[in-house]
Amino acid sequence: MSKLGVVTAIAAVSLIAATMTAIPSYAAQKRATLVRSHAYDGLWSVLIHTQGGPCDASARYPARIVGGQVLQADDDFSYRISGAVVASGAILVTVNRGGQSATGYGRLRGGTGDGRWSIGGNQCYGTWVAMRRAAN
Amino acid sequence: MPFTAADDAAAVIPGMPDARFWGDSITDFEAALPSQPGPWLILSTGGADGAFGAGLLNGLSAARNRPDYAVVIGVSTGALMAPFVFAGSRYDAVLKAVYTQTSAADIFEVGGTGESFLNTWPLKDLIAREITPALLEDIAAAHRGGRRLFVVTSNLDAGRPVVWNMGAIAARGGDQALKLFRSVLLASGSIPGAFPPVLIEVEGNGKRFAEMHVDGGVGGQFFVAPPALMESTSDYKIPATQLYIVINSGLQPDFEVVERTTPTILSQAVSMAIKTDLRDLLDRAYVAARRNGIGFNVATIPPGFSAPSRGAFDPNYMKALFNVGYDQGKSGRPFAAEPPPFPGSSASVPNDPQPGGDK
Repeated sequence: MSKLGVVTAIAAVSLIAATMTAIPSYAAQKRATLVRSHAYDGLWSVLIHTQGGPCDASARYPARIVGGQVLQADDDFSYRISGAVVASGAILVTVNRGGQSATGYGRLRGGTGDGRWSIGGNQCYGTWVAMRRAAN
Repeated sequence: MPFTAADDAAAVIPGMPDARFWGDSITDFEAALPSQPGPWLILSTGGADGAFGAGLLNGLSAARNRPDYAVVIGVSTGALMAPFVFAGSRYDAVLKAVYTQTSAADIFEVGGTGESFLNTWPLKDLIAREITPALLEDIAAAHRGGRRLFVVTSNLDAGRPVVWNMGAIAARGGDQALKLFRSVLLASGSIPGAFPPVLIEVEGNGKRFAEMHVDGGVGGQFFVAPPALMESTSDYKIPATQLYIVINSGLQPDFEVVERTTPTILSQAVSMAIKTDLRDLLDRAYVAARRNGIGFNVATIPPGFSAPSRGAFDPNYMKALFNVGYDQGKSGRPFAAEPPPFPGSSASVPNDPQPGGDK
């Protein structure tokens, strides 16, 4: 498995953990509280840089995080954004636009974040940085 | 608050009655001009292609061939560069940075606002960073010295162009003037539909209301004088010694197999309409200059420029275009004395591909 795939898998496992229904034990309840953190809630802006491939050089997307879920922040139906962030800040996001799907992963820290993204088969790839613009 | 055409016709910026005038008002235009004739600089629309004009003006500075223009008039991207040009060559580095280090993410965020496809809060932030109180002080000083800086927006409520006397606004000083100055620049570059309109608070007939302003290019890709003064039958004497017109665009048709998506279709159609408007306006300005016996000088993006652009506001594309403009500005012949010939005229280069030329 490539390095990219390993990291993606780690992020995916984290997300599965984040979205699991908590089992009724004290430890599990505590863990569920942690993963369902609201620490990253708010309106975010994500700046995307393309490092390789024929995609636009840069773009900026809004995203809203509510209770660890990454949601669409506007009514623009030309793209769809979804994903999740866990209490540690690990995040996995998918953006669908024009029949293509881009996957981004990385980490949020307080009011900022960064990571990498790619479109299937590394057709395009690059980095992203994010900043929280509003708490809600 | 609801308002009428009469309210809007009488509307002024509270506390700044000299901040603006209608772009079709001959008397207001004449009253706002400098008392002495001098060279005028006209800066056109063009979006990211403003990198050409930024490069050209940097090149003119490097060649010590850039006068203190008596009048600088900018529309859209031309409006965004106009304050730096007007304030003098010490702002050349800022102008260069804005047009070579800016990316799409510094201009807009994807996502509709209900009034547009995109959100321009990044551009608003960029303008706030670059349009500083110190810059306004320099512009105010030049205004007091008799020079004039004008920026054009389109008042959508009235369906009329508005010319903003940016030097007069700067000369007012204070936070309100700074805020208005920045709002006007944002409005002048707010392509309707793509970017949200800018609402500007005014007062007319005792009412306070907000006018909706969008890109000045809606009323014309550049502005020299009110249309009634530019028409071919006018006997108006433009009080300029030279007209320098910077066209932040190529004028040749760009062949592109258009994707069947709404934004792409709109973009290609608008691009075609803009080039047609530019050519017609240039022709009119040339006739006016000849009639007035004043020098006509025009710079456009050379037909051979073909750097690829990966999306809107690709910094690599803008750097390449800046360099083309810089070299042209520094050259011995930065401006042409006539508009480029229309396609199909005997002097023009054929646009049709030549047989066997596509290998």
